Amino acid sequence: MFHLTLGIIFAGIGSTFYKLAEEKGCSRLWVNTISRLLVVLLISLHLAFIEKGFHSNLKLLGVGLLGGVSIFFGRWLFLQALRYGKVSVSWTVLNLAVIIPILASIIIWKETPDIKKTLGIVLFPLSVLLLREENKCG
Amino acid sequence: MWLSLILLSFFFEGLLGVAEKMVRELNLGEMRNDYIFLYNLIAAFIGGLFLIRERERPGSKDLFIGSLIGLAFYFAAFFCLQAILELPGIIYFSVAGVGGILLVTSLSHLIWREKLKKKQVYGLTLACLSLVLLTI
Repeated sequence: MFHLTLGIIFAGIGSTFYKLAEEKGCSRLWVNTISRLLVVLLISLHLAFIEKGFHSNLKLLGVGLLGGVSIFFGRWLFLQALRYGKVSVSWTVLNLAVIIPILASIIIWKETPDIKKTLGIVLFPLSVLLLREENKCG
Repeated sequence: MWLSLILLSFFFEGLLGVAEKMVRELNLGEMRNDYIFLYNLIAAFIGGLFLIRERERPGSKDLFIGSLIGLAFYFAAFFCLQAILELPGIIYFSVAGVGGILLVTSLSHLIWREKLKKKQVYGLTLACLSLVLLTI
């Protein structure tokens, strides 16, 4: 539980830094690109010194492309959303994105959802409706 | 405007979850760190292309806050990967989801003085419940 607590704390701090970037009027493109580059730098050190190299194949390249496009546009749009809404509410909606891989599992991998997951899927649109921010502008 | 932006962001964040599911389904689990390296590299590359097109120059606060975000999420991923090896998935996913929401809500109240409306508190509670149901 110690590692999970630290993981939650760092992710929480990261999301409030997104709000800080928006409050300080930072360039969303630069903030998004620099944050990804820093992760690349740190993980490449890990790969070089601990795993002794980078391994890849065509499958990994395809999945990496999907992941890269998704995280770039996901976080860029998240930064834009913070201009109009609260970080707490926006982060909550982002956390609910877990529903998409669950739906993909049902549609693509033919997994059958149990009653709890079905109820969770049903509750999702209702929670987003309640969380909805009134427009500040636009 | 907020709703359309956050729903688009939600969609892309969900696709990232699908990509992670594909890592498992395609038996690429042993290459997980290579995957993290690759998708961040691709995201940085896309960002670079946009920056060249827009001819934007960075300010010191862009570099500083961008680096802080990168550091925070790198350590978050590092500790979460450790945690997922130690804890059963049923506990990990529920605690990570609900704990993250509650922490960010508390931090945004303390730092940004954000106040939630009554219906948003209900929405937050419902979202936590939905998240627990989806991940257990």
